[in-house]
This record gives sequence, structure tokens and C-alpha cells, in this order.
Amino acid sequence: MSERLDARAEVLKLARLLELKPDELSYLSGLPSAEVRDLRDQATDRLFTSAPGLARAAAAARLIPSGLVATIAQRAFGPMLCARAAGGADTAKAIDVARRLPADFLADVAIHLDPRRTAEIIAAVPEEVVVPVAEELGRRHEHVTMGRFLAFVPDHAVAAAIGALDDETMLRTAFVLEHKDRLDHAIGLLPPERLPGIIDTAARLELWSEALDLLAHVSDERKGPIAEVVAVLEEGVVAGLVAAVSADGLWESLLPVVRLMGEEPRIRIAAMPAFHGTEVLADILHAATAEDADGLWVDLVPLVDALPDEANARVAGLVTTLDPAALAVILREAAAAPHTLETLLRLVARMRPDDREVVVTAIDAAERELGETLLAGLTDPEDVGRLVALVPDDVLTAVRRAAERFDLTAELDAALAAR
Amino acid sequence: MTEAAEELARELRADPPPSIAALPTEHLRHLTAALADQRAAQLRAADEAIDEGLGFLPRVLRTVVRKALMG
Repeated sequence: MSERLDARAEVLKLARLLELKPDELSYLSGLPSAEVRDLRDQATDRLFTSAPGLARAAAAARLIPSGLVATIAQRAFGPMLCARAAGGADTAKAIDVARRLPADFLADVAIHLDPRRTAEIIAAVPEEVVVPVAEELGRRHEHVTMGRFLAFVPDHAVAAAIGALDDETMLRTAFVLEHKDRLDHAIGLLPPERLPGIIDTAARLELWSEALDLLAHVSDERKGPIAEVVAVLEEGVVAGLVAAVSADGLWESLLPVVRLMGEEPRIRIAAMPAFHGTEVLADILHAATAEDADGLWVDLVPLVDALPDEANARVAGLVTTLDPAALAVILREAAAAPHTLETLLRLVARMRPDDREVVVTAIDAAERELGETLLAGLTDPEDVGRLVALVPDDVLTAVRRAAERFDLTAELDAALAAR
Repeated sequence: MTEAAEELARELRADPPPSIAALPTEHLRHLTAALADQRAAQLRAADEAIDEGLGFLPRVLRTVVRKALMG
């Protein structure tokens, strides 16, 4: 989730805790969301430990038949006090009472609950309670509330809730999850047949930012099946996706998905005009060459390789317009991932001789570590013939100058002789 | 910490995060008052709910539960 949305969700949660309107806390909206969350945790701790009578009442509930406790909970305590008392209740008793309470009341309790204090109870809530409460929270668009619970709900209950929630609710809830580190595991619980519907919902409701934010938090293993669904999207849908990615700068979420597609679907999707515009290609290159774009070049290469000839040539032209720092990022990433060197060299080979000057300059400016890695990649015995054949003479001369600078001329000559 | 930030820290029984502690006095006082009000309202509501809840219990059980509530 973006920091801005994260901060808005945190202000909403703190406002609920203090029974204020979110507007009354608008002065917090520009602060780091993590610190607003810390403040909420502190205020929660203070409030939940400030009424010893509530804890005693919760403990005393074990003396009272569960049906009567349920009546008292609804008619005397109400959802907020029940939520604040819940941490003091015996787990088995709390579950027995919860079974007797209507879903709308339990949904109200959930809104005010501190999952950290009631983890044991939450973990024991049976599916027949989870499902109607999840449905009720979904109906009320309580994505923020559901997002607070994932880390505390066992797998069987997550799976049951997934079954109870529609695709839009799933997307919006996942977007505001408090513990995104649990997302990868939770997506593993999602039946694969739900994926097309979720992606279709993202397209229909323009929730691409939400969907792509999720991708940023899941492993390649989970992205694989998602890539298969994206690969068969219609052209108009892909255009919407690419526009959203460009607008929000989310290439680091989409490029790995393209990388994970099979070759044929990747070529099919790369043939779509949405990827061919100069602005979009420049946008991708800038994302892949940003100082913090760790590894994005590796994700970009499969798309570059799959682009039709004209678009590929456009990428080559755009590389020549990059500033030296951005070009150095590509050289560094390509040197660190030698299997991508061929793509880079093919782009260089497509450049007009005058334009190649920027590449020559970047190689001449390379420091020892980069130069050594680049030379090692270029002179890999298995690939040396194929790779060196791609290097234009002026670039090869720059490589030779680099080899001289780093006392690697003998290695370069040996590799060239062996090709 | 400013005086207003220290007041909030006392109410929280913890040092507020740095960006919160650096808020203008007016906002710090607002947060402190909101938390104090909420605590007071919670205590009142809890007392009322416990009294009302006891009214739902049969006399024999009420005595036992009242004893448990006294700790």
C-alpha cells in the first residue's frame, strides 16, 4: 500500500479507537504511517489496561451460562466494551458465547478488537462463526478491520473467509493488510480458480494499483500462476494495466510477472501496442535504472527480448538518452547477471555509431569492480564467441582500454583467441 | 520533549513516536485530551455495564458473580 493510503488507514484506525471523526485527526495524515501506528498501539495498550473492572467481568463470565453472557454482552456491554474485555476472557467460554451472538454484533466487536490481545481466541474461532462475520464485514466494506486480523487467523479460517468474500473485497482487504509479510502465505490459500476473477475485477473497477501492490509482496512461486492469467488478458485490459503501472510507477511489480510468463504468452503480450509507446518504454527504462531499482534490469530483459523489432529498436535508442548514472546501473546489473549481457549487447549493436559514444564513455568511466565483473561476463568461455561477435568495434576498443586499466589484457586476449 | 509532549507521554505511559512528539502543542493537547476522555468514558461505561449486567442474573448467581467481580 502506498504511504499516503497507509497513513490514511492508520488515522482512521486511531480515530476509531479514540471515538473521534477521522477529520479531527487530519493533522496526523502527513506523518509517517509507522509512527501513527506506534501511537495507536500505545493508546490501545493504555485503554485496554485502564479498566480492570472489564477484565474481571470477562473472567467472571465463566460462572454464567453462555446464553446469558450473550444476552448481557448485547444488552448491557455493547460491542466496544466486549472488545476491550475480550482479552480477559477464557478462550473456550469466549468461543461458546460467540456462537450465540449474531454476526452483525460480532462484526461490531471485531472493529474494536485488539487482535494482539485476543490472538488465542481468534485462532480458535470456528469456521461457522468466521464465515458470517467475514461476510458481514465485507458487506460493510470493513477492509481495514479485516486487514488487521490476517496475521492472527489460522489457515483454515483464512481459507473460509476467502470463500466468503467477493473478489473486490479480497483485493481491497489485501491492499490494507497490516502484516503484508503474511500475504504470500495467504495467497497460497487462494484457490487458483479465483485468480482470473480477481484480475478481471482489478481491470473492471480500475483497482490495478491495489492488485500490483500485492504482487510486490509475493514470491515468484505465487506470481507464476498470476502471470499465467495476465498472459491471456485481452489487449484493452492490458492497455489499462500498462497505463496504471505507468501512472503509479509500479514497474517493479509488473516486470517480474512478464518475466515469469512462458515464452509464447510473453511474445504475445509484448506484441501489444500498450508496451510500444516511446513514453512507456522510457518510463520502464527509467524505473529499471533508478538507483534503488535493485534487480529490475533482470526482470526487464525478458520483455525487451520479446518486443517486436521496431519497439526493440526504440529501446536501443532510448538507452542512448540515459544519463551516465542510469547507464552505469544497467552495466552493473548486466555484469552481475551475465545471462542478460546478450540483450544489452544486442541493444548496443542496434545503436547508431554516434549514439554508442555514451556506452563507450560509460565503459571508460567504469570502476575496477564493475570493469572486472563486466569483463568476466564477456569472456565467459561458454559464451565468448557469441557475445564478442555482438560487440561493435568502438565498444570492443573501450572494453580493451578497460582491460588495460585493470591489468586484464591477458585474460581478454586469451578469451578472444579462444572464440 | 516539550511540556505538551510530556503530558501526552504521561497519559500514554510511554514516549510517543518522534514525529508525534514534535507536533504543535495544540495537537498534542488534543491527543492527550482525547485519550484521557476515552479512558474516563470507558471506566464510566464499564461500571454502568457491569451494574446493568448483574441485573440480568438470577439472585443466587448475582451474589457469586458480584463476589468474583470484587476480586
